[in-house]
Amino acid sequence: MSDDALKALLVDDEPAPPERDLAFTLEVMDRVARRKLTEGVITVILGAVAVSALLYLVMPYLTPVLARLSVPLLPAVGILAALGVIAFVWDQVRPALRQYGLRV
Amino acid sequence: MDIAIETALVQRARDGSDEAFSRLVGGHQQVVRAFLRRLASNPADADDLAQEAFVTAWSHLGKLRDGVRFRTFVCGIAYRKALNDRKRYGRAAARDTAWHDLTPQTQSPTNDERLSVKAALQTLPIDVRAAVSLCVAGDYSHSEAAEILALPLGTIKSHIQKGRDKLNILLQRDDVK
Repeated sequence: MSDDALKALLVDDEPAPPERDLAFTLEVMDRVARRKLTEGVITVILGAVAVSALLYLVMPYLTPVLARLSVPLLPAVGILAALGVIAFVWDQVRPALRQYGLRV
Repeated sequence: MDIAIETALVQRARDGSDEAFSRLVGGHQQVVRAFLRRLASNPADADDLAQEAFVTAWSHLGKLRDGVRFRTFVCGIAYRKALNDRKRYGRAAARDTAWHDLTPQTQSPTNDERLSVKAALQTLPIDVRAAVSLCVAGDYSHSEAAEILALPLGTIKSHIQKGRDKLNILLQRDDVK
Protein backbone atom coordinates (compact mmCIF):
# COMPACT_ATOMS: atom_id res chain seq x y z
CA MET A 1 0.00 0.00 0.00
CA SER A 2 1.41 3.43 -0.88
CA ASP A 3 1.88 6.18 1.71
CA ASP A 4 -0.94 8.19 0.15
CA ALA A 5 -3.33 5.22 0.33
CA LEU A 6 -2.39 4.61 3.97
CA LYS A 7 -2.80 8.30 4.78
CA ALA A 8 -6.23 8.33 3.09
CA LEU A 9 -7.30 5.29 5.14
CA LEU A 10 -6.13 6.83 8.42
CA VAL A 11 -7.73 10.20 7.67
CA ASP A 12 -11.04 8.65 6.53
CA ASP A 13 -11.22 6.47 9.63
CA GLU A 14 -10.70 9.32 12.09
CA PRO A 15 -12.11 12.55 10.63
CA ALA A 16 -10.35 15.66 11.95
CA PRO A 17 -12.17 17.85 14.48
CA PRO A 18 -13.60 21.11 13.08
CA GLU A 19 -11.09 23.77 12.08
CA ARG A 20 -12.88 26.33 14.28
CA ASP A 21 -14.38 25.20 17.57
CA LEU A 22 -15.27 28.09 19.84
CA ALA A 23 -16.67 25.78 22.55
CA PHE A 24 -13.33 23.98 22.83
CA THR A 25 -11.39 27.26 23.03
CA LEU A 26 -13.79 28.61 25.68
CA GLU A 27 -13.42 25.42 27.72
CA VAL A 28 -9.61 25.75 27.61
CA MET A 29 -9.75 29.43 28.62
CA ASP A 30 -12.15 28.52 31.44
CA ARG A 31 -9.63 25.96 32.72
CA VAL A 32 -6.84 28.55 32.37
CA ALA A 33 -8.88 31.05 34.42
CA ARG A 34 -9.51 28.43 37.10
CA ARG A 35 -5.80 27.54 37.18
CA LYS A 36 -4.91 31.24 37.51
CA LEU A 37 -7.37 31.66 40.37
CA THR A 38 -6.04 28.59 42.18
CA GLU A 39 -2.43 29.71 41.75
CA GLY A 40 -3.36 33.23 42.89
CA VAL A 41 -5.13 31.97 46.02
CA ILE A 42 -2.24 29.63 46.88
CA THR A 43 0.29 32.45 46.39
CA VAL A 44 -1.71 34.83 48.62
CA ILE A 45 -2.17 32.18 51.33
CA LEU A 46 1.52 31.20 51.31
CA GLY A 47 2.54 34.87 51.32
CA ALA A 48 0.22 35.62 54.24
CA VAL A 49 1.53 32.65 56.21
CA ALA A 50 5.16 33.65 55.52
CA VAL A 51 4.56 37.28 56.53
CA SER A 52 2.67 36.21 59.66
CA ALA A 53 5.48 33.86 60.69
CA LEU A 54 8.08 36.55 60.05
CA LEU A 55 6.14 39.13 62.06
CA TYR A 56 5.63 36.62 64.90
CA LEU A 57 9.40 36.19 65.12
CA VAL A 58 10.42 39.81 64.59
CA MET A 59 7.75 41.89 66.28
CA PRO A 60 8.91 41.36 69.92
CA TYR A 61 12.23 43.00 68.96
CA LEU A 62 10.75 45.54 66.56
CA THR A 63 7.90 46.89 68.67
CA PRO A 64 10.00 48.98 71.12
CA VAL A 65 12.01 50.50 68.23
CA LEU A 66 8.85 51.32 66.24
CA ALA A 67 7.26 52.90 69.29
CA ARG A 68 10.26 55.24 69.64
CA LEU A 69 10.40 56.11 65.91
CA SER A 70 6.67 56.24 65.15
CA VAL A 71 6.19 60.01 65.41
CA PRO A 72 9.27 61.12 63.39
CA LEU A 73 8.69 58.44 60.70
CA LEU A 74 4.95 59.06 60.21
CA PRO A 75 5.22 61.16 56.97
CA ALA A 76 7.65 58.68 55.39
CA VAL A 77 5.38 55.74 56.25
CA GLY A 78 2.42 57.56 54.69
CA ILE A 79 4.34 58.21 51.47
CA LEU A 80 5.63 54.61 51.28
CA ALA A 81 2.11 53.25 51.84
CA ALA A 82 0.70 55.46 49.07
CA LEU A 83 3.49 54.37 46.68
CA GLY A 84 2.83 50.72 47.55
CA VAL A 85 -0.88 51.09 46.78
CA ILE A 86 -0.10 52.82 43.46
CA ALA A 87 2.41 50.09 42.49
CA PHE A 88 -0.08 47.33 43.35
CA VAL A 89 -2.93 48.93 41.39
CA TRP A 90 -0.61 49.54 38.41
CA ASP A 91 0.50 45.91 38.44
CA GLN A 92 -3.14 44.71 38.48
CA VAL A 93 -4.38 47.09 35.78
CA ARG A 94 -1.46 46.76 33.32
CA PRO A 95 -2.53 43.42 31.69
CA ALA A 96 -6.01 44.83 31.00
CA LEU A 97 -4.51 47.99 29.45
CA ARG A 98 -2.30 45.82 27.24
CA GLN A 99 -5.33 43.96 26.01
CA TYR A 100 -6.76 47.30 24.87
CA GLY A 101 -3.60 47.86 22.81
CA LEU A 102 -1.86 50.32 25.15
CA ARG A 103 1.87 49.58 25.26
CA VAL A 104 2.54 49.95 29.01
CA MET B 1 -0.89 29.64 11.21
CA ASP B 2 1.83 31.93 9.86
CA ILE B 3 5.08 31.66 11.87
CA ALA B 4 5.45 35.43 12.33
CA ILE B 5 1.89 35.77 13.64
CA GLU B 6 2.38 32.73 15.87
CA THR B 7 5.61 34.15 17.33
CA ALA B 8 3.91 37.47 18.05
CA LEU B 9 0.95 35.71 19.70
CA VAL B 10 3.29 33.58 21.84
CA GLN B 11 5.13 36.72 22.95
CA ARG B 12 1.88 38.47 23.84
CA ALA B 13 0.62 35.38 25.67
CA ARG B 14 3.86 35.26 27.67
CA ASP B 15 3.23 38.90 28.61
CA GLY B 16 -0.13 37.87 30.05
CA SER B 17 -2.56 38.34 27.16
CA ASP B 18 -5.46 35.86 27.41
CA GLU B 19 -6.74 37.04 24.04
CA ALA B 20 -3.46 36.04 22.36
CA PHE B 21 -3.45 32.64 24.06
CA SER B 22 -7.06 31.96 23.07
CA ARG B 23 -6.11 32.71 19.44
CA LEU B 24 -3.23 30.22 19.74
CA VAL B 25 -5.65 27.61 21.12
CA GLY B 26 -8.17 28.30 18.33
CA GLY B 27 -5.49 28.03 15.68
CA HIS B 28 -3.97 24.78 16.92
CA GLN B 29 -6.85 22.86 18.52
CA GLN B 30 -7.57 20.86 15.37
CA VAL B 31 -4.07 19.37 14.96
CA VAL B 32 -3.65 18.61 18.66
CA ARG B 33 -7.07 16.95 18.95
CA ALA B 34 -6.58 14.97 15.73
CA PHE B 35 -3.23 13.69 17.06
CA LEU B 36 -4.69 12.71 20.44
CA ARG B 37 -7.74 11.01 18.93
CA ARG B 38 -5.39 8.42 17.43
CA LEU B 39 -3.74 7.81 20.82
CA ALA B 40 -6.70 7.90 23.23
CA SER B 41 -9.42 5.30 23.56
CA ASN B 42 -12.26 7.65 22.59
CA PRO B 43 -12.75 11.23 21.27
CA ALA B 44 -14.08 12.57 24.60
CA ASP B 45 -10.94 11.43 26.45
CA ALA B 46 -8.79 12.83 23.65
CA ASP B 47 -10.48 16.25 23.87
CA ASP B 48 -10.10 16.27 27.66
CA LEU B 49 -6.38 15.50 27.30
CA ALA B 50 -6.08 18.20 24.63
CA GLN B 51 -7.63 20.79 26.97
CA GLU B 52 -5.27 19.79 29.77
CA ALA B 53 -2.34 19.96 27.35
CA PHE B 54 -3.25 23.55 26.39
CA VAL B 55 -3.58 24.55 30.06
CA THR B 56 -0.15 23.04 30.80
CA ALA B 57 1.24 24.82 27.73
CA TRP B 58 -0.14 28.10 29.12
CA SER B 59 1.58 27.60 32.47
CA HIS B 60 4.89 26.51 30.84
CA LEU B 61 4.90 29.05 28.00
CA GLY B 62 8.20 30.42 29.29
CA LYS B 63 9.85 27.07 28.47
CA LEU B 64 8.95 27.27 24.77
CA ARG B 65 12.34 27.61 23.05
CA ASP B 66 12.92 29.95 20.12
CA GLY B 67 12.58 28.12 16.81
CA VAL B 68 10.16 25.50 18.17
CA ARG B 69 6.63 25.75 16.77
CA PHE B 70 3.75 26.12 19.22
CA ARG B 71 2.04 22.99 17.80
CA THR B 72 5.24 20.98 18.44
CA PHE B 73 5.34 22.27 22.01
CA VAL B 74 1.68 21.45 22.72
CA CYS B 75 1.78 18.07 20.95
CA GLY B 76 4.83 17.13 23.07
CA ILE B 77 2.89 17.96 26.25
CA ALA B 78 -0.18 16.15 24.88
CA TYR B 79 1.86 13.03 24.12
CA ARG B 80 3.27 12.90 27.66
CA LYS B 81 -0.26 13.34 29.05
CA ALA B 82 -1.50 10.52 26.81
CA LEU B 83 1.31 8.27 28.10
CA ASN B 84 0.39 9.04 31.73
CA ASP B 85 -3.29 8.55 30.99
CA ARG B 86 -2.52 5.20 29.36
CA LYS B 87 -0.62 4.07 32.48
CA ARG B 88 -3.60 5.03 34.65
CA TYR B 89 -6.01 3.34 32.22
CA GLY B 90 -3.79 0.23 32.24
CA ARG B 91 -4.00 -0.04 36.01
CA ALA B 92 -7.80 0.44 35.94
CA ALA B 93 -8.12 -2.12 33.12
CA ALA B 94 -6.06 -4.64 35.11
CA ARG B 95 -8.47 -4.20 38.07
CA ASP B 96 -11.47 -4.57 35.73
CA THR B 97 -9.99 -7.73 34.20
CA ALA B 98 -9.42 -9.24 37.63
CA TRP B 99 -13.04 -8.43 38.56
CA HIS B 100 -14.26 -9.77 35.18
CA ASP B 101 -12.42 -13.07 35.76
CA LEU B 102 -14.08 -13.45 39.15
CA THR B 103 -17.60 -12.72 37.84
CA PRO B 104 -19.60 -15.48 36.05
CA GLN B 105 -20.17 -14.48 32.41
CA THR B 106 -23.60 -14.87 30.82
CA GLN B 107 -22.66 -13.96 27.23
CA SER B 108 -19.96 -15.35 25.00
CA PRO B 109 -17.70 -12.80 23.30
CA THR B 110 -18.63 -11.80 19.77
CA ASN B 111 -16.37 -12.77 16.89
CA ASP B 112 -16.00 -9.75 14.70
CA GLU B 113 -13.20 -10.71 12.42
CA ARG B 114 -13.12 -7.54 10.45
CA LEU B 115 -10.23 -5.43 11.61
CA SER B 116 -11.02 -1.71 11.40
CA VAL B 117 -8.38 0.88 10.69
CA LYS B 118 -8.70 2.16 14.24
CA ALA B 119 -8.31 -1.35 15.66
CA ALA B 120 -5.26 -1.93 13.45
CA LEU B 121 -3.77 1.34 14.70
CA GLN B 122 -4.50 0.32 18.30
CA THR B 123 -2.38 -2.82 17.87
CA LEU B 124 0.73 -0.67 17.42
CA PRO B 125 2.81 0.32 20.46
CA ILE B 126 1.92 3.87 21.50
CA ASP B 127 5.23 5.44 20.38
CA VAL B 128 4.96 3.78 16.95
CA ARG B 129 1.31 4.85 16.72
CA ALA B 130 2.22 8.40 17.64
CA ALA B 131 4.98 8.50 15.01
CA VAL B 132 2.63 7.13 12.33
CA SER B 133 -0.14 9.56 13.39
CA LEU B 134 2.19 12.52 13.12
CA CYS B 135 4.17 11.70 9.98
CA VAL B 136 1.84 9.50 7.91
CA ALA B 137 -1.66 10.65 8.89
CA GLY B 138 -0.50 14.21 9.71
CA ASP B 139 1.87 16.54 7.91
CA TYR B 140 4.64 16.69 10.52
CA SER B 141 8.28 16.33 9.51
CA HIS B 142 10.40 13.57 11.02
CA SER B 143 12.41 16.12 13.01
CA GLU B 144 9.21 17.68 14.40
CA ALA B 145 7.98 14.21 15.43
CA ALA B 146 11.36 13.55 17.08
CA GLU B 147 10.96 16.77 19.07
CA ILE B 148 7.36 15.94 20.07
CA LEU B 149 8.04 12.36 21.12
CA ALA B 150 11.48 13.16 22.60
CA LEU B 151 13.07 10.37 20.55
CA PRO B 152 16.11 10.33 18.25
CA LEU B 153 15.44 10.96 14.56
CA GLY B 154 16.61 7.45 13.62
CA THR B 155 14.12 5.91 16.05
CA ILE B 156 11.30 7.95 14.53
CA LYS B 157 12.18 6.73 11.03
CA SER B 158 12.36 3.14 12.24
CA HIS B 159 9.02 3.50 14.10
CA ILE B 160 7.34 4.85 10.97
CA GLN B 161 8.70 2.02 8.86
CA LYS B 162 7.63 -0.60 11.41
CA GLY B 163 4.17 0.96 11.79
CA ARG B 164 3.68 1.26 8.06
CA ASP B 165 4.69 -2.38 7.50
CA LYS B 166 2.40 -3.67 10.23
CA LEU B 167 -0.56 -1.55 9.07
CA ASN B 168 -0.01 -2.77 5.51
CA ILE B 169 -0.21 -6.36 6.69
CA LEU B 170 -3.24 -5.78 8.93
CA LEU B 171 -5.25 -3.63 6.54
CA GLN B 172 -4.50 -5.37 3.27
CA ARG B 173 -6.89 -8.19 4.11
CA ASP B 174 -9.99 -6.15 4.93
CA ASP B 175 -9.86 -2.55 3.92
CA VAL B 176 -7.71 -2.43 0.84
CA LYS B 177 -8.92 -4.34 -2.16
